[in-house]
Amino acid sequence: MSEIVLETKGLTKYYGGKLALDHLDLQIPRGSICGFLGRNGAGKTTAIKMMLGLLHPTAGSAALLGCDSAALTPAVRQRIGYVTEGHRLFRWMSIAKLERFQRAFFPEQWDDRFFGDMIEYFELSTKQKIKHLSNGQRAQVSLALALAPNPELLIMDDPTLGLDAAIRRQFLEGMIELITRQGRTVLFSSHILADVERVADRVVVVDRGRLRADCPLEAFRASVRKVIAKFSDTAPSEAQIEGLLHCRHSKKQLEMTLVDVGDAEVAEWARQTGAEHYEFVEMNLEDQFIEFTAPPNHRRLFQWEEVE
Amino acid sequence: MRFLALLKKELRESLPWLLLAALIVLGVGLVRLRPRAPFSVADYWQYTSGMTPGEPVNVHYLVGAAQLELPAVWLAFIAPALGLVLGVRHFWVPLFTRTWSFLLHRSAKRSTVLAAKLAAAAIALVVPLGLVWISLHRYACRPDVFPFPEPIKVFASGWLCIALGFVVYLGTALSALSTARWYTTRILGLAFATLAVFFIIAQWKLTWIITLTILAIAILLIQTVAAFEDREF
Amino acid sequence: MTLLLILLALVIVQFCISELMWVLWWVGPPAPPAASAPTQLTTEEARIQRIQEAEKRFLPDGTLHLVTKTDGPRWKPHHTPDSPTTQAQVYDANDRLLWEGPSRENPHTYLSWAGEARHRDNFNVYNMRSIRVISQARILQVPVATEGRLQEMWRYHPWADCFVGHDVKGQTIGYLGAAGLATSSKEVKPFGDFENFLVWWPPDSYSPILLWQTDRRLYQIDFAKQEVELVFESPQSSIAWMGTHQWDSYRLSLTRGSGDNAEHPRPLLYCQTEDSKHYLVVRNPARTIAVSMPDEWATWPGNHWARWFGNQFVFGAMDQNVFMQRTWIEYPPPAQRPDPDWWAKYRATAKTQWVELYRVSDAGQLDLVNRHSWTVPARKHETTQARSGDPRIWVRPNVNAMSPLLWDLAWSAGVRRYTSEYRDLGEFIKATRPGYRFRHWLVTVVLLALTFLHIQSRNASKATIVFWLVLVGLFNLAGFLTYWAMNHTPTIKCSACGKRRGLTTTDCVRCGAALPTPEHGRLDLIVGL
Repeated sequence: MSEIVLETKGLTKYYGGKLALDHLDLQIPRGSICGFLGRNGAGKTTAIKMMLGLLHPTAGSAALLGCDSAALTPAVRQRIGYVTEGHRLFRWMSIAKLERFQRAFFPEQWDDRFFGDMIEYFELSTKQKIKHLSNGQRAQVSLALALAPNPELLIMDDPTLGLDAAIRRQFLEGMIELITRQGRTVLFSSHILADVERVADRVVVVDRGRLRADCPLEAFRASVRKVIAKFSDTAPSEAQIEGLLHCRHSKKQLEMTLVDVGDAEVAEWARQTGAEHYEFVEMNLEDQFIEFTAPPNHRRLFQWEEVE
Repeated sequence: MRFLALLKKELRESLPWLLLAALIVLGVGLVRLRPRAPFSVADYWQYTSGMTPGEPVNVHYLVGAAQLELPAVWLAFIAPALGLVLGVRHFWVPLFTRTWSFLLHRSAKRSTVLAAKLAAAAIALVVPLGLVWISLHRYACRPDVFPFPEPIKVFASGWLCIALGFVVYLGTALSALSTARWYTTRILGLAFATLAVFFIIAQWKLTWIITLTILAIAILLIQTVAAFEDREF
Repeated sequence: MTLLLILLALVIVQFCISELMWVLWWVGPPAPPAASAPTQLTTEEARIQRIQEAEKRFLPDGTLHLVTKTDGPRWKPHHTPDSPTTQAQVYDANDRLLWEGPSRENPHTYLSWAGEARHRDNFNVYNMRSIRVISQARILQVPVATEGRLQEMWRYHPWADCFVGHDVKGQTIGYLGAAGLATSSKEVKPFGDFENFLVWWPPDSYSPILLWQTDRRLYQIDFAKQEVELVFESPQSSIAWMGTHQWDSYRLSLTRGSGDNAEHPRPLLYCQTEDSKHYLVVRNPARTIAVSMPDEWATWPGNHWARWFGNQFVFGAMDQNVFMQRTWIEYPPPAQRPDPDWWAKYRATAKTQWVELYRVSDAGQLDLVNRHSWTVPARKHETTQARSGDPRIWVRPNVNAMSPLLWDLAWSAGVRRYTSEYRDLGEFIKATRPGYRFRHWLVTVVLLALTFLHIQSRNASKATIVFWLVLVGLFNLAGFLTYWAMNHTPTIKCSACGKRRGLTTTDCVRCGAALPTPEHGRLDLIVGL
């Protein structure tokens, strides 16, 4: 088994009396690109901050590169790159000054040439001040600062938030650049599922503070499926099938979202219920994520979406 | 190297404010200490003109203002104000700009980050204001400018103001680091610093002043360090 | 820090509540109007009033005159100077009119007395604070000059408690302290606990002289001569009150009456000490006299209020004699601060007042020269004010029920004995301590119970619980608020026992159950590595 670079055990966080993260157990192996997914307020940023020692867990623990998150030493932090949500940098600094500042913390491993190449690639000038950069340009600088020290572990909190497609593509390419370096691990949270689908090989899904999925991307893609079954008469009011996540009922049709249910089981159910016809609906990762994290028995907001 | 990088960054952020403070005090001092040459007895008219032996005198005429009184008054406002501004700059602004996460993930201990801020504040308060104050005092003590040297008490008062600026800085930092609401305990840091300042400047025994200042700084420093180490960002 | 601030806030609130009650009481409904007094005095009443209002003045031979002064239709108050329109009538002790006319033309020269320095001439401890306080750039400086030319400047150095002299070139001349001139700051002797000083211009100099009073000594500092003279030293206790008479030359023209003692000036200093002893320092010839007084006269400053009603002493000196005038009243003084009822009764009672003249010998013995008494009439139609009883008397015990027990413990430990320098601290503790009253204990028990209920769901550490309970017990409401400010952490309902539990520990402090772990079911996709 490959080495575990990021591990959490029962990581729990309460804000006041409100549970934000509930016993998160996670293991990220070295070399993995892990997409950390969840709806707004699911607990992703909370989890990341606890992993980096910026928040104190109410219970449980986290370890990065074998070091307890509550006591991350400077030497360990040197091996971890972190891109903050919103790419918050010192606005009064120029890119050159920021580089010098950042370099001071990575005296041995800073790659000057790589940083310069990235800045040049992004068509930025080192004399520009951060406050004069756009969101996308700031994201580029942030990525360059995080990658130049050649970190073993890169943690990014929603790095492509608010960026256009072109900048997002550059971001992903930067990540891929890092990935090609042997033994590098990436954990990134994102709302852009298409990006996750492009690069991640593992997904972790957190829903209302609770871990819902921690599996290879392919396994997630294969497990979450949607079936539409049509009936000649009235469709049954509910579907009795194991692995049923959601079921939407219309007059002659049942739309079911299933988790980890094989074709044979679906066929058997259709036979038992007398479905006239059933078909699997093609879903992309975003569709799957939305269905997977939808609250139980949720109704669509807009009725025109209802399947006839 | 890390500490120096952090220190340079904090000092650079503080630079406009410390320069402004120093320039204000220097400006006031230069305006007040305009050399009047040659020195004339008329400068002390209340003692010489109209003096008649055997006449009553209002005892309060014997109470005079030091040459550095006006700069000292300004320094008494400027130094705590600079402390307040530095506290806001070092601890409040990163909250608003959300750069704490970036700063704290540098490969340096939290204590190093805090030490750099505190050192930057101490340097920003002591060096520019101290240099200005020393220069003004030396100028005021020149016999060709003013005949009688400035009392040491006045010189010490300037340094006291600078020290109290650090007290206000720590109080501001403590309030910034608190996660409570303003109307509960968040105000306590600033409130304590303010009360300490007023209490200390009302003292007249030098030993009491030094002791109370050190005590106030120690209390606030300990609480600031504890708050910073425990705070969640 | 939190505790200190909350204590301060609490003290301010307590003070405001009790004083606010007093203000509301004071500005409350007015007392019912007194019955109207008669507008016309009888002849006898007018005579008694005239005698009462008259100044009792002694001639150097001991003869008493009663001098009545009027400005227009009114009596002129004693303490105001005569104006050109002031009319005087001089009566003898048998109430015979001896002279009348403009007061300034009164041909008689009376004895005058040592008085306290007027405000503008007197520099006291409060004034000195502005000099000493480091935050104020104020200097006490005394010039030495000849006509039209400044020679030296002597500045008071608050830390060294001496004067430092500089010439006009900025060079240091020397240091003047209690032992006189010293050449270095290490050799100079400090003056001691400052009380006040007087200053005047001597007739032959442009340089002022200071009469510097400390706790037990009086120094006269002549900066022109660079000399310090120890004028008086109290053998045992502190100087409580000091008056001067013709000590500073310019007062020759300012003493009351024309030419009082002017023909025979004899400078005099009068000092009364805390242990009610009286000392006179005279010159021409120089002498220090310890005045022997009967013990029954020494009721001040022991009983401050007794001074209002008698045993007022004033002293004056002439060439041949030193005199003392005593004024007293035949009425028992109050034992404590008089309330309005006491005042009403006092005014409603007729009393006899006395004035006596004594000659003071060089040995301090008192020989009675003359005495006179008169009646202080009762004020008719004097009614007791409708208001009685300061509400603070009953408000304070309730407000002080929230004061720290520590104040009572400090009081019992005798803090008052150690507060001579910090009188304010002793007075503060005295005014705000709970006094071991039942209501204080009740408040303490309630707060302890609340603290215990709050803390036990949050923290299992016995040491912490004990610490906070002790703090709340000692500091009462301030301690409770401090605890609350520092420990108000959230709680949740324990899934095992159903009670509230804190989140500072992983396990429930009541039942020991850990936080519930979510179950991962069929619908979760958790795949191990």
